[in-house]
Amino acid sequence: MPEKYNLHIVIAEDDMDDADVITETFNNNPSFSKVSLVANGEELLNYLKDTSNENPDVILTDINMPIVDGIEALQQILNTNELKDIPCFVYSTSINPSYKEKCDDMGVKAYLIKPYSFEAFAEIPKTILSIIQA
Amino acid sequence: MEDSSDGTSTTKHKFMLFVSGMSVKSGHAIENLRKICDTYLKNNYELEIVDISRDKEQAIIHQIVAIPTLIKTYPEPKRIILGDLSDKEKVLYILNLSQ
Amino acid sequence: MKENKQDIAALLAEIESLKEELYESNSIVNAIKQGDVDALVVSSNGVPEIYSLETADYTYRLLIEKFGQGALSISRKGLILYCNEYFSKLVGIPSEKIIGNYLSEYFVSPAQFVSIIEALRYGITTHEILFKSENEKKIFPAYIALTDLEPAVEAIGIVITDLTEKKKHEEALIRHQAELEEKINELNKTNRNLEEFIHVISHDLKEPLRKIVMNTSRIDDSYFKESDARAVSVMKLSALRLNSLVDDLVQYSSHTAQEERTEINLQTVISEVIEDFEIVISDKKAIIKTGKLPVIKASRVQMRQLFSNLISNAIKYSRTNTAPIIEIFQEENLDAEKPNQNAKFVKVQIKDNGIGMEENHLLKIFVIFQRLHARNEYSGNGIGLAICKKIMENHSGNITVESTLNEGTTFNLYFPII
Repeated sequence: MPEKYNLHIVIAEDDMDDADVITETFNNNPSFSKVSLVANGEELLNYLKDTSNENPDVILTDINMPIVDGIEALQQILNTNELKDIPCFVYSTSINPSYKEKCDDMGVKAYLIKPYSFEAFAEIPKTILSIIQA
Repeated sequence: MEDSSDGTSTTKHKFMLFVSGMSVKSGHAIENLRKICDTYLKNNYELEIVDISRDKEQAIIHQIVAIPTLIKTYPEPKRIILGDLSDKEKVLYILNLSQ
Repeated sequence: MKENKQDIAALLAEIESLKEELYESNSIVNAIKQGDVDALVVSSNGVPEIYSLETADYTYRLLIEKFGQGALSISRKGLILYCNEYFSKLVGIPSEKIIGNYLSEYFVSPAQFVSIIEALRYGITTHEILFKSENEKKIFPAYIALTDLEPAVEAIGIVITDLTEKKKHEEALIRHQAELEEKINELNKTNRNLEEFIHVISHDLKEPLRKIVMNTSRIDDSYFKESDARAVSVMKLSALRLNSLVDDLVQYSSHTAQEERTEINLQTVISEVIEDFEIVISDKKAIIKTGKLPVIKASRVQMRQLFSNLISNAIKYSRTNTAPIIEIFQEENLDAEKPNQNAKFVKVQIKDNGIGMEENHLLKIFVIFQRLHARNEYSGNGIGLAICKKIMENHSGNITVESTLNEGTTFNLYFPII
């Protein structure tokens, strides 16, 4: 059970502007003590497989990313014994019902939509917290 | 020749027509008999057609000699006509049916 | 004296009776002499035998000779003893040249003859054979039926039915089937390509839109001129609108006929949709009643979308100051409403008490982006019903609408019973 107020989150996001906003949002949230950023699915997998890194408490990933996208990365993560218990979240600009179904089937905790305002961004860490604490 | 006792067309007549397979005259006999019956007896008749190539017993029982053979079994007296019944007048005369 | 009279009467009666018998016998003999009969019945050892005169079996023979099938009579060894006109035409050789030859000579595989005769022993009398004419100029498939005429006659009768036409039709059918399958594959491919294309494009379109919206909101317009503040507001709303259009397009294109079909209980789907709309339902004090609803084979995702759109519309287009009452129920099985179809359908109705529509608008509403109201009156891009129509078509069904202005609207969904 992750400690409630010292959470380490790894975020996979290829868009620089969104990356700025999302990392700032999590840094501003007191429950999260460490925010790691990777630029795509491949980097995400490498980060997780790298034994010198501690496993994070939460994973948040964009779907559409170059080289290895979010869905592919999550498929691997949720099939790896050491990693499958980490709560995974997905966020994306587009609502694609079949992607959503895939995520649900894989065991992704929530499929979030990238908000259209800065204020709404702040809700993301709160939503994630409430889900993992449930 | 004695007339059929109740020789009117109001009595129910019974016939047996003996034929053989698809012999030409057999076919004619059937046709002609039907015509006569329908015209002069109007449903007031019973017709049994026996194909003796399939039912040889009947040929023996009724002592058939040649095909086609028509036997009027009722009303009395019994009458026999051989041939395809194409001579309408002769047939009517023998069966004692009025024209 | 009296006795004499009686004797005379008796004698006269006997004479009459004898006359009758004589007449009858003479009739019979005359009939035979004159050729009024065509068969004689003669007893040999008490068993009657029928002797046909020449013309008696004429009808049979004529039938066989002339009818529309090939007929042969062969010996057990396969020697052709008789063949009819039709068979002669089939192989394209005159009858005289055929009789006396072996049947196997007209088989493409002569060895088949032996197995056919063997098969007779086991009661198998019908076969499909490929025939050829002597010089192999003509080959045709045929259906043959054998009849063993023994012991009456030492021969086997064969009726031959030409299958050329039938085979041609079969081949045409298979060809068409293959063509059809190919077309379907192409179509599916095109659909998939379109879907992928739209998905990719939409995502790429939405990214910058989102940023425009986010950042225009951030602009502090408190010190702007009114016209500038207005300009920023319009930009933001336009970006939002564009975003919503892109969403709708993605939705519209994402539902194909190919999605997985499972047994869906519509009651469950509708309950889920009602949950989704919990907030707006309580805001508008809407009442949604469901009656008997069928279980159908459909795509869960599409059914969800279908009822979501319909229920959302029913709530949205309600009359002011009148709580929306929406009824969803199944009507009894009925015959096709769609012309030219024999399938039976299940009919589900969604009935509301909303603002209704005019008669001449009814067909327009299913057209993509077609709206009946100004944008500021009711929200939406006008794609919801176009999606509903597409979903019903994907399921080989149909959607129709009936409405009375200011009273309400009823949507009818027809799902085929598979």
